[in-house]
Amino acid sequence: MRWLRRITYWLQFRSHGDELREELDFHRQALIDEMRARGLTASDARDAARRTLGSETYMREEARAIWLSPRLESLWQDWRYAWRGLRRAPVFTFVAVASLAVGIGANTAIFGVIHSLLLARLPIPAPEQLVALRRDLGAKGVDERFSRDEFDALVGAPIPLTMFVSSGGTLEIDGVTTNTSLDAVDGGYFGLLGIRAQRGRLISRSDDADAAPVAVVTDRFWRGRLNADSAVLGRIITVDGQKLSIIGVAPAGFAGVRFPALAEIFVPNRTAMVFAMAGSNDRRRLGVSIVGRRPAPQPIDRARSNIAVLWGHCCAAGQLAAAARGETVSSAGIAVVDVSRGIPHPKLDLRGQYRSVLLALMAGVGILLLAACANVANLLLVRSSARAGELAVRVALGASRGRLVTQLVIESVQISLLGALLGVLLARWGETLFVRARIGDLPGVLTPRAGPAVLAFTAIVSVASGIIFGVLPALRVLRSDLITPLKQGGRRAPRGRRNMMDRGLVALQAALALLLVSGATLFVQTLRNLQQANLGFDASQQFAVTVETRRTSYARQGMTSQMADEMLRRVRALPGVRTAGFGSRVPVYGGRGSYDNVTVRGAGPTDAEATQTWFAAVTPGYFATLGIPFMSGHDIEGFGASASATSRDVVINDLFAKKFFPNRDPIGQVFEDSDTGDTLVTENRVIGVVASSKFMSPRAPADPMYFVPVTNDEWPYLVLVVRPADGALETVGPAVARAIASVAPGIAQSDPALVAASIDSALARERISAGLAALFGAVALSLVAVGLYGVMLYHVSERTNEIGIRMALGASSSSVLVLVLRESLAVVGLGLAAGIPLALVAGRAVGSQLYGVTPYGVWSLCIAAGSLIAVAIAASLVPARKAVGVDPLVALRAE
Amino acid sequence: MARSNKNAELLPGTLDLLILRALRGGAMHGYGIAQRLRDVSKDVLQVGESSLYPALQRLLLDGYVRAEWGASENNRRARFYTLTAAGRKQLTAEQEEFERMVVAIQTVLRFA
Repeated sequence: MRWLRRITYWLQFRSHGDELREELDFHRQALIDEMRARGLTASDARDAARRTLGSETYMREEARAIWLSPRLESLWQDWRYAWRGLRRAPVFTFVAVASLAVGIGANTAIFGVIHSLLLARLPIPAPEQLVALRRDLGAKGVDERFSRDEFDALVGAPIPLTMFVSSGGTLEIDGVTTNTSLDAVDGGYFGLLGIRAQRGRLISRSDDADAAPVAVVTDRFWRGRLNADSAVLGRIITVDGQKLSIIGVAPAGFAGVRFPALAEIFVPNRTAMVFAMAGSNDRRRLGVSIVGRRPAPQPIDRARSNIAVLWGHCCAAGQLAAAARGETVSSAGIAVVDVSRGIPHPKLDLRGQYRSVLLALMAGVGILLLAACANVANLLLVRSSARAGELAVRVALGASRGRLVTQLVIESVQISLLGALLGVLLARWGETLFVRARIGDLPGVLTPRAGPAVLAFTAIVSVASGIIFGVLPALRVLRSDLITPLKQGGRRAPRGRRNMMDRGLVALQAALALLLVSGATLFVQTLRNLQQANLGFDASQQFAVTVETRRTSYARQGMTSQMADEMLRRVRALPGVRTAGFGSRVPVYGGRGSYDNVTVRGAGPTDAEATQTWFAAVTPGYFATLGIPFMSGHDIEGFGASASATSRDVVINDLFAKKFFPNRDPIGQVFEDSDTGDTLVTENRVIGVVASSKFMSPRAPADPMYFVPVTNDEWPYLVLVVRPADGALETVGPAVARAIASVAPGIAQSDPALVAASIDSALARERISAGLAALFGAVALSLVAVGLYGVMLYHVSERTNEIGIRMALGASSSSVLVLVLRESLAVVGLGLAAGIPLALVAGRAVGSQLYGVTPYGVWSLCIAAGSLIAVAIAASLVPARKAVGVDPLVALRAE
Repeated sequence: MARSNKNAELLPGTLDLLILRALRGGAMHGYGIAQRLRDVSKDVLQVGESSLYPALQRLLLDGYVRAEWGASENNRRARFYTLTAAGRKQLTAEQEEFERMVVAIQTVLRFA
């Protein structure tokens, strides 16, 4: 109860001061009255009263001391004392706080990214209750896609369920057509998620039942595409050719339950069905994702078994689409999985892509923080040694060791608090850099915000580091002999253990720096190798435009060869266009990946796996535009006759030639290709061989491939590649877009994108990791420099006497220089010895992320060790020159 | 830390007891307590105001007294202190303790 009264007192501290004053005023007045009654004059009475009552300030201080517990009182004193001490040593404080701030800031920034990418839950109430159904296919894994029929069959499930279908769509606002992502949702979708519109309302059950032509848009869509229009409600947008009226804007941050959440528009499920949006109106078609909410206390297993029973009934009743198709669903069980962090996006596995990189970076910043802590510990040790005299005097005057330790701990806490404060600011700056690096080119996916989780992390990290670096100096005070320096008349701690300790700390820093620098060289080399990797084509200038017929008036016919031919003719005629060509797929940029089974009569591999081979359809000019060189033979001429033609001329790449026609001239050879389960077999005659190009990414090796002519009625979309003349890049893009539109008005086309830019964004992950690793390495090196500088400077000043004697006895300045350098190199050498095995282990751990470098590379270790030694020499130069500059006479007189 | 009371004539630690005793009759303000102690002891016990108020703060912290604002005899705003249940208990305990001590001291003075 005493503590409760204390707290309430301090909460009303100000009013208590006023109360005391008023109380004393009353007392004084009463005394004056009493004196007057005894016959004193007014002024005498006042003086007498003042004398009796004493000093009001004193009384207030007394009251404060009573309400403050004695321990708190002394803590407060220590706090102010430590603060004064820090302010008296600005250089020490600055270096300590800055190195911690870098460490804490880097940790906060990386954790912020990890949090938003790997840990963050969906922005809905009670996300931990959200579950999704999966079709359990036994050995073949799980499938998240159901049909609308199956969802309907699950009505009356023991937990509330809802569904959505994600798909791409075309969007027309104010006459401009673009692509969009839309989710067709069940009427109960928003109710189950428990979110509310920030404007208007969300889709209701009656919207769904009536198939109302309405849409809800996300906050990002509203801000980005509708310019945060305040009159958004009732605005008409056209999705897949259907006019919809906007009824509401979803809350900020919500864009569906996938991760990454990329939906822009939500429409009622039945609306999508009726107007055949979002893919298909086939009730049996797979593609429906089913999510549900389990009651808070219900374990996921029980939710599963409850639904499994119902699922069994559905299967038995034969209501299921899969069953209708004659598939054996009786064996397919149902699984219920926790999707509180979102349902993984089927085409964009950001988490898988970035998990290992982020964890490696987290380990890196952890090491960095450790090095920063070692640095601060070191500075504190040097400082407390310099203060040994002061500490000894305080012990002699009766201060307990506990009090001294408390004081040192408070000093550490203040440093770490300052470091954390500065670190959070640094982190915010760092995060904007990270976001600007645009992971996966997805605006809005990565929104590192200093939320409670991140701040809690920072607080824990800074307190932990305060303990780590504060404990050594404190231990020293507890253990060491504090009085001896006083007896000796010296002002410093005895040498010996202290030296061991601070050298050990610098060696630790050196070891950690070696780890980070060698890691950084591995990542930087990886990036350079990938950037310089031979892609098999020349991606210097050409850009690509995807011409799309789906969801347009050309959907039925697809890209016809007449259309493609005419577009090429007009594009090639444009001024500033060197070459142009169509392809179903463009290296690294993308397109459709198709493969067939290839057989060469009487030769080559025959088993099914080995004969599956990628192919692409191309037009003349494709290879020339992409800079894919011919090794022999010549290009395809014109377009193919039809998709069902039985023979055609094709071009193969040299990997294909090596695989299927080893030791033979491939030109003129014939092979057959067929789709699995397809009876159509086409005979292909090889007329040319091109170099093999990497189609997937710079990292993945090139595959055997063949290229067939573009035919009619086969391709829903084709990619146009254009190589502009030098300096004509800006003007050619729009002209090409107009040329395409002039051939086929209303056809959809993507913005012109440089193929080189796709290579760049394919390397975003590597760029981020290389950049950050290099930054961490540089910071670690500078920490070593600071640590070594401080220690060497201290050692030199400690050995002034000895150096003076040496010089008086005739030692040359170069031998003194060597003396100092030898000492600092010995420390770094110790660090190297400890760091090299660590670096090898760490290299192994990140091995899978490397490209073209071995994790045990001698090269990276040499760079790291060399830079450490260079830093060691640089950091000891100033102390060494100070040693050389010692005047023997002055030095000898000093002691 | 000038917690001990300054009045040399008062036995150490007895000020709290005296205040609690004075409050047993009912609510009083600080000035009243000082008056009362002086009057009852026929001016033998001079309670310095400089130790009275810290003592009152201590009793507040310990929860032995409660303070409320009210009107004084001549209708001025004054802060009145009342004994709490805990204070009453404490008074009994301290009083017994004190009496035991006095008897012990007297015994020693008489027979030692």
